[in-house]
Amino acid sequence: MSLKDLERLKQQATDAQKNKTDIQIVVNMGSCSMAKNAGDTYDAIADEIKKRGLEQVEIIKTGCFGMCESEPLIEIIKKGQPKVTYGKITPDKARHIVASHIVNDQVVGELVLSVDE
Amino acid sequence: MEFYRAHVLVCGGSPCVTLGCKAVREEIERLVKEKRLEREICIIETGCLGACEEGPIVVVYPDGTVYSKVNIDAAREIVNEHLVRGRPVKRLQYKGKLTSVSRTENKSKDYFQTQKRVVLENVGLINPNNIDDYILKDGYKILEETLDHLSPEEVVNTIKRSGLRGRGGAGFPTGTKLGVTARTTADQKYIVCNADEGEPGTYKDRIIMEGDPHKILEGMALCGYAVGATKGYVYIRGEYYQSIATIRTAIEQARELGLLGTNLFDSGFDFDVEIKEGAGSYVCGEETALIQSMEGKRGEATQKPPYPSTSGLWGKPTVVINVETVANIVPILKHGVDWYKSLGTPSSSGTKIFTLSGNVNNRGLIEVPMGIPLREIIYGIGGGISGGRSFKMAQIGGTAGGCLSEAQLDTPLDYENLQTVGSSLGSGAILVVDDSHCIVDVACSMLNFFAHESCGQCTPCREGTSRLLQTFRKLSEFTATKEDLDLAIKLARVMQRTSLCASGQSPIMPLEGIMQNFASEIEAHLNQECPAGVCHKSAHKTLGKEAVING
Ligand SMILES: Cc1cc2nc3c(=O)[nH]c(=O)nc-3n(C[C@H](O)[C@H](O)[C@H](O)COP(=O)(O)O)c2cc1C
Ligand code: SF4
Repeated sequence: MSLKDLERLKQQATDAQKNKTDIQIVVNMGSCSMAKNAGDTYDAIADEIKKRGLEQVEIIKTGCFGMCESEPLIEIIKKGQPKVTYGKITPDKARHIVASHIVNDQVVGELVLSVDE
Repeated sequence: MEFYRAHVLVCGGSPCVTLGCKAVREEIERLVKEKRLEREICIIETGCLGACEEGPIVVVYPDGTVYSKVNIDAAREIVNEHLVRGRPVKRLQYKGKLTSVSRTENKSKDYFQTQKRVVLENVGLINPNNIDDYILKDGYKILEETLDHLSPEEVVNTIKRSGLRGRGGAGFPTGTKLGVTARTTADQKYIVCNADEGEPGTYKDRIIMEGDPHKILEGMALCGYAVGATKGYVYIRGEYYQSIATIRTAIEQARELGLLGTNLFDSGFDFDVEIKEGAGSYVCGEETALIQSMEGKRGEATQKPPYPSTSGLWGKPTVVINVETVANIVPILKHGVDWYKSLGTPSSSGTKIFTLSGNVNNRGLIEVPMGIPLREIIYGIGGGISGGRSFKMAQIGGTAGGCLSEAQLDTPLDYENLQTVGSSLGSGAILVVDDSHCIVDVACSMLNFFAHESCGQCTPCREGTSRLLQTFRKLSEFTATKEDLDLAIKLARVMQRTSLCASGQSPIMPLEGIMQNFASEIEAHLNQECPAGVCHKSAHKTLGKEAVING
């Protein structure tokens, strides 16, 4: 590994970022999240995405964000829109969010923790 | 695989229900079924779409046509024209703008306003199992630059000047520690990252490991370069399965790219990391006990000096550094000493991660600049005491930390100020206790922990912790006398002076706080009374009745 290699890797990652899908669903999967069944939430989202054939959606697993009280926590990032964070997302609520927010651009207000402009 | 060619949203927010959207939705559902379109068209009831005066609202996707004031007839027309023939019904379309995003409340605003994320900058934002995500955030670039431009002495000096102090409990200046190991000559030196995290109510290290593992590996490599160590170990608590898995993946990915291993960035510097799984006792977090455990011996503390910095793992100079401490190394070298010192207070620079637990609304983990008053954490970020009760006590820094009362809520949280109120920053745990708990009961719970975790090696701690617990249990059964209590405090002071490690030395810390700050409540127990109504005679005849507030 040299500096050049590192820069090349970063460039690749940056390019990959650019080519990233327009919609990302980030699911917190630290062990506190897992203790609150984030695994089931993840599965529900994956299932819903598959069932609906939403190929432009990417699901990303990440660590705990610190709001352990509100786990399972998910974030929806759509190109050109504010990032929306949802808390205490059970599998059912996750399916609802996919239908409403992902497919139909309607934020599910009562489940929102924050909206980052 | 089902694929819907169109989605129909019918709002079901409570104002709209009264406007008849339920009937509209049922009519649309009926018609769609009648036309056998249910496999092509998905009907969803949504929350309020923010245009209630115009309800019921129906939205048809993929084109996003919004219809307002839809009645049964309009619903039929929409199905027949729009859904079947694909021709939006212009006449019924809504001209305004839906505002559902702006209507949502920003519930987490307070949570993040006062926070300053340095160590946690990537946690929860990147994929910890993909090294590309870390590289994209300029990961391993500081390592490259440091190996290229800075001498090991310069790295040590930078850390010294930054004022970084250990986040594992003792708060020893990290730069000084690195300097000692750097100056010691030996054929082999080690970096051991302490991820045993046994302190009740503390879970920050786990979240860093699970959220941003490469920051730890890069920090360890930088420490290795600073002191001349080529080998690092992460000693992870055995129960932290997911942390172990995440760090393992990170090590593998870094090795694959040559970011760990030999001749890093063609500088001639070698550094590799291995995982050591913890054996599962509180004392194993103490640095000398940790080293014993790594060497395959019983996890018991040993006499200091010699300190690990000069004679540690296998008798070689070893830097034992906490996860949070090591995660500060990259940010310091990246943004510089001045920036780092601008965070926090003159004597305690940087940020600190606190883990909030107990009777607060927002339990979780926060990172704030040093010196924030406790009140702001509990009532601002923490969202106040849960269940509408009032504040009674907060214990800072873990079980060995001091117990602060209401009068001390304005104490700034940094190394110096906490010392003046008989506490310490410790591991950063903040346990909040509300007024439904009894202070004697809380003390029993704490002392039970110490008695249980004593490794038994030295008599003052082994016998002392059990005696302390016995006295406070007596107090909770209303059978203790003033003399018993005086003797207990005296005993705790003897333990402080004569125990081998901080586990036996520290029960005096919380006890002194309790005796001073809650004197009247203790007094009441001597008079057979428990103001909180928790204690009663013969409460502990059956073992382990203490409040479970650590969970
Ligand atoms: C009983 C006991 C338990 C400890 N547990 C931990 C622990 O779980 N994690 C930790 O980092 N330090 C723990 N420490 C502190 C370590 O001995 C040591 O000071 C620390 O790892 C040094 O790293 P730092 O300078 O980065 O804080 C413990 C100390 C004692 C006495
Ligand atoms: S003080 Fe307690 S925990 Fe520490 S070595 Fe002595 S007996 Fe073991």
